Amino acid sequence: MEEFIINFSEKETEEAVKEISLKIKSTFTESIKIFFVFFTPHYNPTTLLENIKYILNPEFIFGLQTPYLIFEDKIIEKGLISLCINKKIDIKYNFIKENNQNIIESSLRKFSFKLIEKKFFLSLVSKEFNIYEVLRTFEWVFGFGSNIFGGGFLKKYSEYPSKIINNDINDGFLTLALSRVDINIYKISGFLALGKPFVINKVLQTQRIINQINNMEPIDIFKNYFEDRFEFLKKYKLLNLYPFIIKEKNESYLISIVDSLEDGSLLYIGDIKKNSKANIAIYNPGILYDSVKNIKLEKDKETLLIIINTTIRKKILKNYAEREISFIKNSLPYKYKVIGFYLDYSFLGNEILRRIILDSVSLIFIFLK
Amino acid sequence: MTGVFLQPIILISSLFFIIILLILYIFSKLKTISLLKEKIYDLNKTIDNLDIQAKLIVKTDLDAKLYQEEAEDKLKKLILLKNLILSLMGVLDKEKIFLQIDEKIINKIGFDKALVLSLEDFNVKLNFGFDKEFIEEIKNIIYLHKNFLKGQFLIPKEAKLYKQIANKFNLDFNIGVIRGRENLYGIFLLSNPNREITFAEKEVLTIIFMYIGQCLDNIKLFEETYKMRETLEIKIKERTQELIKSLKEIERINKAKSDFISTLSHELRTPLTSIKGFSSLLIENKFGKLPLEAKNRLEKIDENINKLVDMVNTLLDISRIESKKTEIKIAPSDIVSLINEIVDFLTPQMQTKNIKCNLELPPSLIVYMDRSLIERVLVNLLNNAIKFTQEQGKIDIKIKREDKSAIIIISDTGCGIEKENIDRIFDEFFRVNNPINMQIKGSGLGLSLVKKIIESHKEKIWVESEIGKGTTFYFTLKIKEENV
Repeated sequence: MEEFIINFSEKETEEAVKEISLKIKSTFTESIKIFFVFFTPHYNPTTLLENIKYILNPEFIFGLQTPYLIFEDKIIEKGLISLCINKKIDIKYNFIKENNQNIIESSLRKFSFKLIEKKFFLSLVSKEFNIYEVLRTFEWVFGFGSNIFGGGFLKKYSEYPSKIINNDINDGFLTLALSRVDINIYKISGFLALGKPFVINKVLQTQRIINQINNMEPIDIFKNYFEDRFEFLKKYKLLNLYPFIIKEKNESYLISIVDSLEDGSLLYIGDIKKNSKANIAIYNPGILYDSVKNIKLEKDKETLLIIINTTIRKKILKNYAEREISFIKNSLPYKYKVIGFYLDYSFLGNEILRRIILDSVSLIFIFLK
Repeated sequence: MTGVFLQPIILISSLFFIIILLILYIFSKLKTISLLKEKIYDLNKTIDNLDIQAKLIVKTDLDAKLYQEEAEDKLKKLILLKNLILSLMGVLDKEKIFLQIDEKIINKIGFDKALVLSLEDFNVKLNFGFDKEFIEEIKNIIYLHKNFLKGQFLIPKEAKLYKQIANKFNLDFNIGVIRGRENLYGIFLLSNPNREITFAEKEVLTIIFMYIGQCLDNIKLFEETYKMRETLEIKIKERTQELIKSLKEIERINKAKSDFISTLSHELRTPLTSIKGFSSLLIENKFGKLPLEAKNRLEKIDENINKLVDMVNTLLDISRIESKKTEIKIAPSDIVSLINEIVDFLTPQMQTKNIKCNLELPPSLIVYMDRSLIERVLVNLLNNAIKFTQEQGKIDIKIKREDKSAIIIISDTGCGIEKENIDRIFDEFFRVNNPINMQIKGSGLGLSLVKKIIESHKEKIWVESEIGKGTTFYFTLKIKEENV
């Protein structure tokens, strides 16, 4: 019996649930214990949940609305993907719906008391929450191990709430703690650092603003590199095509520049410490190729790869985004099943840097066995 | 004492030595520092060079990205264009043309609102996102500028029409004209407040407008052709009906004629037989001796009665064949023996006129024929040949085999028939109007009967003739398979 059954449908809610349930039942005859569903903003989660419960009635349901989906080697703009896990995974969850620092801290603490075994934490954060505060609290309660990963949104993609957890449909800050499962997590960027490193002298982390680079206006860094093409880059808001790469203790992570402000400061998404040294970066498929090839994977057919991708990476790569997914799928040893979803940013605990690193450009690979 | 004196000297010299060593050390370090500075300078230069290269790389990368994006965007639009053309290709109803364009297509071209207004009746053919008030205003503006639209595909932003709409609605839009070779069909208004369209997009729009115009032209042409064909079909049907009616009328008249001739011939035969009987008896003096003059007159009467009987009989035969009252018994029979019999029978007549008869016949040839009817054909044709051939003339009778048919050829060296009369010689009662013909007696029914008999065999008869040289009759008969 397969351990991970994945299915895709692009039909409307009821028909889609019927289609995937038919496919599941053709290979899986027992009652469904764990059911994950990732769906695009076209679907109403309430109707979706009703149908899932009515047709499949799983013991545990987790659902996530995402602007795009990844199914095998394709990026899907409309549809839903189901993941039926036929494995005794222990899942506990904590769902915080109110953006209140005290509530977040106390709720996470209470949640930590319930957990006995070693866990992997998948956290998903809605736009209402200040991600930097959330991550610092998370570090305070659970540490900064590489068993902590997730991401979140900076905007809403539909009128409907984005998360389903059993009977609960809401936005908010959801953490799933998974144990009795073998998970390997990798972060891959495929970006190459160029030119002279520059120092980010002043940064307002809570407002995601870089105020000074090399003791000058941050925008000057783009003026310096793009010279006569700078005005075009600024006018058509293309600064995000060239993220900053920060190297710290041999670890690197990417900062995406979302926009420039009138005073020459830059709006960013990512993780920057004061006086960090950064380089401008460009996408290089060769680096991605090397990174994927360097992942030490066991040749196990029962492995499922879940990719956490970002909407900013999709914007940077444009039409190459799907080619990249196809390349990843085809580079894997054996034919691993591949699914994935898009967030506005992702994060992953880093034991060397001793904090959870926020990254809006890199890919996170989660190998589930 | 000496030791006390030496101690400061040793101390001073040691100090001096140390100072020298220190100076040497400082010099060596200064040299190292200078070397390191040089290295740092070189490294900084290398980094600066790398930075210059980085500038070049990012700029090239940006250009490549933009080119690639533009190329892929163009490709996407081309695919869209291809799909749109494919979907429009099979549409033959102008009302359905715009149903092929949905909101998705409009979005893919790069717009969020679209309006198509017919210039024929000012009806809205397509609308995504515009309100009624806007449409009414647009109708009024377009109506005023209708003449300007001729010769345009994409209205330039400098045009009055464009400025009027733009000022009135504070709208960023593109307006295209759907037109064919001669007709203005409509206007296509597309709006996207967020961006300006590129040159490539303008080209795509122009192609779309041109293609829709061409489709509408084709539909118009198709409709016209269809209507013309329909009218033509109706006319053909009417004409066919008329022809069928005329044909039926001709058949009815023919039948009436045949019936009339048949009845008349029957009715004539009885009194003629009686007259002929009495005239024969009178000539043979059965009612007493007649004066010579009366007898001569009576012989003329008898002669004419015989002609009349012949004519009536021939007419009766023709009408019987026409009305299919005569049963035609087609069976295999030897045409050569039949020809020989008839030639033997007519030899005395030929000898009277000293006509030579040449026969080129096979020993025997079995054909399908009604022997008695073909006998009449041969008698008639040979009789004619004898009649129209002058003394010392010649008659040839031949049989030619062609594929599965035998062609019987009877030629004479008579006076010949004029070209203008040749097509009419098989008509009933037709006699060639010339002095030679006038001297030769005949009813004008013989050849008509011949033709009817041949046609009743589903065979062909034709004639070739040259004035002064003679006439040749040809008719065909099917050869029995084993003879073929």
